[in-house]
Amino acid sequence: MPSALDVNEGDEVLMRRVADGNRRALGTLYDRHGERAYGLALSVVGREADAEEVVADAFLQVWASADDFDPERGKVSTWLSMIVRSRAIDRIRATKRRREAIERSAEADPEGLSAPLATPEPSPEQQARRKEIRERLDAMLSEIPEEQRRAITLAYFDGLTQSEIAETREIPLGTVKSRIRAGMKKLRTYATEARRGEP
Amino acid sequence: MSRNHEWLDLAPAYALDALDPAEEARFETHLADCGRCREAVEEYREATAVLVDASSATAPPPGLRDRILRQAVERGGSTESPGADRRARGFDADGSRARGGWLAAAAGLVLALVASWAYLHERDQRLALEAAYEESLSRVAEQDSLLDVVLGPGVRTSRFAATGELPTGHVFWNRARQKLVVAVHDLPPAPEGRTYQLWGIPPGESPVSLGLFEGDPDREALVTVNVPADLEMAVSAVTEEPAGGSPQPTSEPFLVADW
Repeated sequence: MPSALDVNEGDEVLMRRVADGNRRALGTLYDRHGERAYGLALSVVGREADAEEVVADAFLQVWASADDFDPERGKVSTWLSMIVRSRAIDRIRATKRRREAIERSAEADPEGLSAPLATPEPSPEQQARRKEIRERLDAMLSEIPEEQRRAITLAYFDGLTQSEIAETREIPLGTVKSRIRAGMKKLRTYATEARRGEP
Repeated sequence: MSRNHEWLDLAPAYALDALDPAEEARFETHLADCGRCREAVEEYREATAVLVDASSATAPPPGLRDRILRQAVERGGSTESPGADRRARGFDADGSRARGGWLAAAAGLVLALVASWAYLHERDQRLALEAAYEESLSRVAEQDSLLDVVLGPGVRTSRFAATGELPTGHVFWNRARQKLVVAVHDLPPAPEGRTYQLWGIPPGESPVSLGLFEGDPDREALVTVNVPADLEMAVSAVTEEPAGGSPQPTSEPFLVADW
């Protein structure tokens, strides 16, 4: 059964169709945003298999809760990115919890089965992708000081809170807060100017 | 610095989900009553699009699209929202799973290996069944949706008058649901590089595009499109247009229905 798509049909109309239970609309939404969603997921979780699960979870969440989308509060792409990132952060935190559990078990029983499973370092793919992102952000946001970009990146891609950033980077919490505040204000200015430059 | 200004300082970190849980809870309580802070949060969230851009779009694995659509059908449209409380992510105290220690980890590993073997063994057969099941569900869901539109209260019906002998068809307008269903018989697929475009034409005004369709090899087209709530259609029409459609018709309509 064919289904028509208006040439001028925007994401918001598409979301209404998804909310109506239109599976083709969900497919079109995926066609429009799937690559961006997968790139974001991969940037957070690092492993392709994990990124695939994240994107699947995210689009199924969109399917289940499309009614929650409020166009007054932002664009579809932003809403979708928030969901993808949230699912990705969930996943790395779950992995971290499992790893910590294994490490605790290993400490309790150093000769036990769990010891070889502990892998505390990010995967090489994850490290390589982070490096790429940092380089791209450096190029895109050269007017934002490096330490501010770094704080924002740790929060956004690693899911760290300000306190966790302060702890892992061994810098005062007040400094982290200042960096995120100042960096995000510049990011907002940059994004606003970039939107003005759009055709 | 005003009290409200202090709250605004939290908006950037909140947009990054970087506030600590207690601070986040306090800010959310404040957000419920402060439009200015909500607006700031939305602006900062829009700004994170730059970070998504930096993460670079990447082609997902082939098959992921089909998997998502299949699971969507299986779940139906009324599944509870698994992420309704997205703010709670990461603070769900799920560490309790760790208390089983190494014994639980080892037992879990053995179970996982057994499950993996069984999974691989049965996978091909299951995938074939799932595909057939999914197709059936999909057809039923689409036909249910179509019947809802066509049989709803207050639906208006009109017959297409063709400029030639063929094709023929009917059109159903459900204003309450803002849907138009078009059924056309004896319509060949659109020629290469061309498409069919459906229009709603208000009295004395320019046509409004309602959607595109290609036609089927079996020459039967059944199309459902959204109709803007404020569109007062006097006529529905179908034209043949270049692939991708046209902002306004570039050819005479070959199907016309009066309302």
